[in-house]
Amino acid sequence: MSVSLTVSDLKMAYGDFQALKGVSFHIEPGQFVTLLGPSGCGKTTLLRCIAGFLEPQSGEIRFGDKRMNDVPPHKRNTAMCFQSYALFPHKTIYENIRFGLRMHKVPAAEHDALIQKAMDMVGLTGLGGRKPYALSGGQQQRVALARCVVVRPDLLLFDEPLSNLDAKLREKVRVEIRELQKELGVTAIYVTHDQAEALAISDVIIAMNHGVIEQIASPRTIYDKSANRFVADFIGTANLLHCKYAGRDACNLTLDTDIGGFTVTDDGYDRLDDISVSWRPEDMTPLPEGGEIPQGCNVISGMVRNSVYMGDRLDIFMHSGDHVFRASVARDYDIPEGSPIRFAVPYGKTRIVQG
Amino acid sequence: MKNKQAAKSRRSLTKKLLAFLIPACIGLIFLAWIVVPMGMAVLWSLVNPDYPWSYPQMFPSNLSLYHWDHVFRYTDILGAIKNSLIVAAMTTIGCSVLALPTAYAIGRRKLIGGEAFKIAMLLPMAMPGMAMAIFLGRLFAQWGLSNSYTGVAMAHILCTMPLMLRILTVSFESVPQDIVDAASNLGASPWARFKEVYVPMIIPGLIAGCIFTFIGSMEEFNLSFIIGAPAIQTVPTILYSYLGYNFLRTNASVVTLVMMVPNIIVLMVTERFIKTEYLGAALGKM
Repeated sequence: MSVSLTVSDLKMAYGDFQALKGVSFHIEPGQFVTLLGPSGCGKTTLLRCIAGFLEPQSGEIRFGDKRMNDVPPHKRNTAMCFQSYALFPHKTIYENIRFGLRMHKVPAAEHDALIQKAMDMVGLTGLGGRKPYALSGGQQQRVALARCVVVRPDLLLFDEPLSNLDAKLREKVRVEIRELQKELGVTAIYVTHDQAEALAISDVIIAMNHGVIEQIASPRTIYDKSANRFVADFIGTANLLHCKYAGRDACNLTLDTDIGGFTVTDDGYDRLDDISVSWRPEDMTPLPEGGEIPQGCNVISGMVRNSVYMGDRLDIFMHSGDHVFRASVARDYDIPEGSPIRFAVPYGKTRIVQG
Repeated sequence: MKNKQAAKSRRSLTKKLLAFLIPACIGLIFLAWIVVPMGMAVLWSLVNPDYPWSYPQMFPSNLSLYHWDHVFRYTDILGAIKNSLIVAAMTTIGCSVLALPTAYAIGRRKLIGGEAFKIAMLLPMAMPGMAMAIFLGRLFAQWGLSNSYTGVAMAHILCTMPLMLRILTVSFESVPQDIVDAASNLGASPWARFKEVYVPMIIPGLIAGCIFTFIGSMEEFNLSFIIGAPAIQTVPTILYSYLGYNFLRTNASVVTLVMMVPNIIVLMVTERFIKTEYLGAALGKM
């Protein structure tokens, strides 16, 4: 029912543009995996190669043990939800969902029960007789989802399925997709450029940029332990500062930057050339004037340039040397612009990233 | 402030005026182009030969069905209608069958020289009908296709094909790739995709193409005359016999009106077909 997916050294170019520059990864059966990256990073190309709509120039795609490169898309038993929904405009909702069953030669007697079940699953009960254009965007995407799950695919593919929905609905449908996938136990690959969506929905995130994979990790790891500058910056917000390795003791590393030294808890870092120090805005605690510096913290001092009230928090942009850093603090702070300020960041929350 | 309001009311007045003027102009053009010639044809077909209609009379002084009677009595116009319908039906079917796969290939496949072919396929439209008729007539006579339904229909297919191909190519091109991908993703073989996705989605284009082809064939004279005559007489060949050296406006009017009947029926029937259902499908939210 659900399969593992192995992609090895996949390359794909459109003319001179190298969309995939040798991509390899492995996905366990039943995992929900997100391909995350900015537009043009190759994530959609990768998804389309997996579905079989595009033929890669080299490399291999395997579902379980089966090599899929030469299998045409209609024999791959995948099912994709498109950003444009891609419902058949001339067919009713019922017929749209039935399409896959007919194509897969499921006996006609079973159709009705399967379709009703799929429609119940996505909350479309009773809408079977409508045409796609008579439904809202959210409903159309649910039809697409029902149309996919009804054929019991080996692999469920999503190509930015929620981009055309408004923010509230996006969150709602995203939870529904995840619940449905868990219920069916089907392997899912989900393409998005929305990092919040990726963090919320995935077992594993594959971060991509310029046709290569930057990091493969769980949402928690990819956020807390970003491998490089790109990942740290793309997923959430990060303060990044080029630095030089200065030394290490039993449990800490010391780093030199142009605004002073930093101490970082050792996490087994091995590559120490071309590195930056990185920390998250929400890990910065403002220190009271003249107050004591807490143990095990780096101190960053500077001048408040603006503070932006975000409702759930206060974002402070501060000048330090030539750099601007961003800090997120509790919303009841009131820090006037132009005043000097100091922040503490624990060693454990300060990370070294490549680049 | 007051100035602004004045400007606003002036603008809305202009808007109202335009909303009246534009339909009025279109109405006038419609009147000049369609209603007047049609009305004239009807009047001319009803002129009583004993009371000729001449300047400065606005309307004929006496009406009769003399010319209708004459045309139906002395020409085989019913046979000609039958011939025209047979040829038009053969042409429409033949043209669709040949154009569908061709347009699919041009519209959906990356053909080498596809763009050049798109332009080349319009070239027959630039060729004068009579020139084509004379050369084709010679060729068809050699092949023994003259004086047959097949021959006339084949010639008609040749000259209606460019428009049909053009319309169908655009129809195929405008089917969103995502919908085709969705179908193959759900297990549809290439043939199933053609049947289940392409065909229903290009139906509006196909119907439009068929209307043009049918009417084009019904009204075609050059090829019908040179290849079909004398065995296959169509309505236009009878019409032209009244428009030649011995010009008979009255009888020509009768034949013109007769020729319009099948066209109007076809238009009305297809109009009902195309309406809401398919246009909605093709243009709906996607």
